[in-house]
Amino acid sequence: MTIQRIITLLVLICLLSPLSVLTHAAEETTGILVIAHGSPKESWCKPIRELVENVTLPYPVELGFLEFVEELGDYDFIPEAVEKLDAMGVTRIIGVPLFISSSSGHIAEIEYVLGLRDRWPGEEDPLQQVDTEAEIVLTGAMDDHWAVAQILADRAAELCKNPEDETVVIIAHGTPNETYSEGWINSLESLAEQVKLKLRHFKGFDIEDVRYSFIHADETVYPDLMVRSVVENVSAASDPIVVPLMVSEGFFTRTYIPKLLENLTYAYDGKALTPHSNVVKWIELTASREFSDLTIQIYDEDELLNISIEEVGEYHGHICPCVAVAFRVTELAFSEEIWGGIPHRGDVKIVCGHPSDGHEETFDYILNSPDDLMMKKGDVDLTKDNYVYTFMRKSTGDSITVEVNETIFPEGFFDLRKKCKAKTATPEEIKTFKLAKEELKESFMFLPIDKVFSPEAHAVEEIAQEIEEPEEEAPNVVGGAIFFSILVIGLVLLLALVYGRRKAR
Amino acid sequence: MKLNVDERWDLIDKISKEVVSYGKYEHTLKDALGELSVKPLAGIPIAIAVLYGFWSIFSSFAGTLWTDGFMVKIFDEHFLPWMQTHFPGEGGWFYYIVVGDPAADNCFEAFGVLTSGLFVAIGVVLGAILIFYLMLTLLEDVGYMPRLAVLIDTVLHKIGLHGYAIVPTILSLGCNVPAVTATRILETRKQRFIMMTLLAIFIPCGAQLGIMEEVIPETMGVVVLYLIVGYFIFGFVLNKLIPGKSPEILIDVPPYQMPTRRNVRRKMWMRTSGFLKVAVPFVLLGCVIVNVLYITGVMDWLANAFGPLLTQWFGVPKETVGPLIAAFLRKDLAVAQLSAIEMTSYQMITSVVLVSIYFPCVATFVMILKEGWKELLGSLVVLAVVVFLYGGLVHLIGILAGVA
Amino acid sequence: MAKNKSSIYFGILGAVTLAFGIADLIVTIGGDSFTWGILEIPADPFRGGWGGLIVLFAGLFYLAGSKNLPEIHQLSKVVMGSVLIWIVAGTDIFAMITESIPGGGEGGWFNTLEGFFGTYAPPYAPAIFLLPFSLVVIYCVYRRK
Repeated sequence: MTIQRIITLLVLICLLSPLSVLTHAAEETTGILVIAHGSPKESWCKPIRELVENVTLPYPVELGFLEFVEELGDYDFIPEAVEKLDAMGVTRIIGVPLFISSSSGHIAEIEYVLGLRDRWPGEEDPLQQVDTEAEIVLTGAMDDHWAVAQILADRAAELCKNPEDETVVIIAHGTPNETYSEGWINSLESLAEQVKLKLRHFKGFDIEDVRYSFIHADETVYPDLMVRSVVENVSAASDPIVVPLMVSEGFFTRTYIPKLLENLTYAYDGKALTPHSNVVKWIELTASREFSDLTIQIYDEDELLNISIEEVGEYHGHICPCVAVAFRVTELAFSEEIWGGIPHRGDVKIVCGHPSDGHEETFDYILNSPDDLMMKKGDVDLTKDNYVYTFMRKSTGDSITVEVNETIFPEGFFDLRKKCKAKTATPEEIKTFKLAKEELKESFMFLPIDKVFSPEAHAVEEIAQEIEEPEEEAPNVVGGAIFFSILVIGLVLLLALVYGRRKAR
Repeated sequence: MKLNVDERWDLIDKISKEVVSYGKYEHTLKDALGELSVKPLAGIPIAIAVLYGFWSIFSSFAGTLWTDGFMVKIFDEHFLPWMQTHFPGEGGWFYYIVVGDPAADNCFEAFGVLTSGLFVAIGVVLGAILIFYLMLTLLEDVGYMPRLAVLIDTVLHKIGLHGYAIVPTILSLGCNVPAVTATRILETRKQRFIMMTLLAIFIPCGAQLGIMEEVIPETMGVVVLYLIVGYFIFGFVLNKLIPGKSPEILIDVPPYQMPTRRNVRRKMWMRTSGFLKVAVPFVLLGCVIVNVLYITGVMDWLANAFGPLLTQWFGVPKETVGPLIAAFLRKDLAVAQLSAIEMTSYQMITSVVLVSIYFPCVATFVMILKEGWKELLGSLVVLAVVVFLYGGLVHLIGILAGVA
Repeated sequence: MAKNKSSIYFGILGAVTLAFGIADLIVTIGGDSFTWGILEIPADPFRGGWGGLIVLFAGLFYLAGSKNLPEIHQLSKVVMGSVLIWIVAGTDIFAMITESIPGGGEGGWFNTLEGFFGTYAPPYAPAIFLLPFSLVVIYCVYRRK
């Protein structure tokens, strides 16, 4: 009898288990799929895997290669990576192609593999497609993102000796395909400009110029953009610094480029984009743009409000870096780990170390209670130390102080700002500052929150005291009133004396 | 009856003995006080105290009450946003010149003619001028100023002026415009010329002082010290070089008395209207010109052209050329612009000194022109020489002291 | 008798004033202001340094003039000492007035009533304490007439 019962129980449990899938499916979860080209050489693939391991996102991240990794043991093709995400119950996959250009022929191939395109674009045998129910979204490639420009600038800076007499030449793959050439050229134009501005005004290297060139291009149409041609042209008047725009070191960086430039003099160290923390940053930013829902919840009496960053942006006029950082620091403070619940208006007090309107209006919009907001006063020369915020829960006295991670600011940001404010900036510097602000805004909005802030939760009493300081002392009305009355009486007596004597005369 | 001379004198003696009673003139309290103020031993502490009171009331009224208390609020919170939203043609160059930077959130940074220009003229300087001239007029009418003049007379004589030159000097601390007019109290052309030139070059006006206080409060003392020293050195030099006479002082020192309301009102009006009618329009014009220069990129070209002179001879960064050009039109804004350029504090001292001495503001320029074009030309020559020498000297001192 | 009383009075006042003046200068050189109850000796170069110097001079004036007070020149010195105190205390009070009227960065045009009175609250600088004592000289002058 008992055994029968046990077996029945087991069978029932097994029958019921599929229901768990239903509960899973009811939850929508996201997963990130980083896609790289792949190579038979492990030395090309390993740095990429290591880098992806450093990607910090609130969702699972898998790395899938497009081709060439059959021989390598631990490296997955795209379909295998997608399977792993499926097994975790992911319902929405964000594909981030770790490719130089959206105008690369490989992007169409990836689309096919991911089931976003019906026909295989190439001539060879089609690659295997993924098999999943999940929704798949493919972001753009690196193109002319500032994070990439920064890497190139860093690489060039390492090789700079005499910037005024040196010209950087960026070398990219390019394409002989007419349809795609324009995309590559536009990207490279933009990157070259950014690298130039960054070298000159972030790093202070007064580089002569930054140019670009292609390995594969239609020579008849763009003879002046071929690698050797550009480097020769540059050498005539300047010393070339060659920087490859490639994802990882390999055949091209180690062998092909030096071969193309045989017998020419140039500075080169063969370093590619990887390894560099900005590749991780780019992946995080690009993925976050797809899933970020910048909304804050707060109670106004009994009503639950959902405040989006767009609303705040409209209130202030636009979303500037200040609005972005103020919004995200509030997001952090109101998070489950820190606040432990949804905060109520009237119970939150904020002390802000940055005097800008963007900050003030953001906090104002969220709190809707001017007495609960303490802003730093005055037009000060801003530094990273202004980006400090204290949130306090009035009902319990708990509080937390958060600082912005100082590495998030582009180099020389505050000096540029100072110059622009004082109108002593050159037009190029103004342009650079504008770019820097865009970078900062994007960083604030889309980087994972623990990369934006370095939270230090102080103990309750300490912070409660710190908040007391910036508060003005409650005015000593009685003392003042007494003194004031003495003054008035004294004045009246004096006048009486003077006029009394006048009359007596 | 005809008397001879001796007899006449005898008669006079006899009559006067009957009629005239002699007594010692007793000083009243007022006289005693008056004497105290003039003699150096007591007079100098009194002068120091009076100056303290002057300065304290000035900054309380002009700074705390007028500008920070009300003007900033009016201009930054009401006038500026109103201008920014209602003035047509946002983004265009005309808008930029009149209203300034559309992203600016306070009148000082906007740099537009009607925003910064009006703000500085009315919001900052007018308050300063009012209180300044009120106190000065009171001090004059109470009878203190002549005593101060006597005290300082010995010192000023060494530079070829007499004590009464203290009046234009102090006036100049408010605004150069009435001060240059006041030089007419000096007697000879030589004295007037020396005075005007020294004023234009070495005495910072209220606007400059105000901005210096705001922007470089720590180094302000050293800057002012350099200016005062320059004032005396070059006064001395000019006195020796320029032909002409410097007569002795002979002023009537009145007893202390209560000022009359009518007098005070009249003097105030005379001096303040000088400022309103002449200086303000020029302040506005100055804004226009500076903005145009920036927009057309002439500033950049000048920065490059004058770069070597600035870096080598004066030891300041070449970005300072922008503020230096602006200094011709708006000295106060120039100091503000300087503060944003990165440089060591000694370089800052040098730059501010340069800005202060290097050109009279346009309004002063016009006033000196009114007194005579020869005077103006002379002043300019002196100015060029002074800037070059003194600026280089300041740099040299810095090098010797190891701080340049 | 009147002569002696006033002489002693101004002698003491002079010594106290002088002491305050010196204290002020010392505190200014030291750097931090010194507060004791409702007395605050300022340490900033303007009010502490320059102002302190003037209080010191006032003390000297008092002492110099305290002997043989009814004599006109001596009286004038004492009057001058008081005038100097009036300048320092008066400008401090004027500063309080100009600070108490406007509403400040956050407030409206004018200050709130509490803010207004609060501006006049203690602590005060030494000259303000000396002020009532310095007014005695008006009485002396009045009595002479």
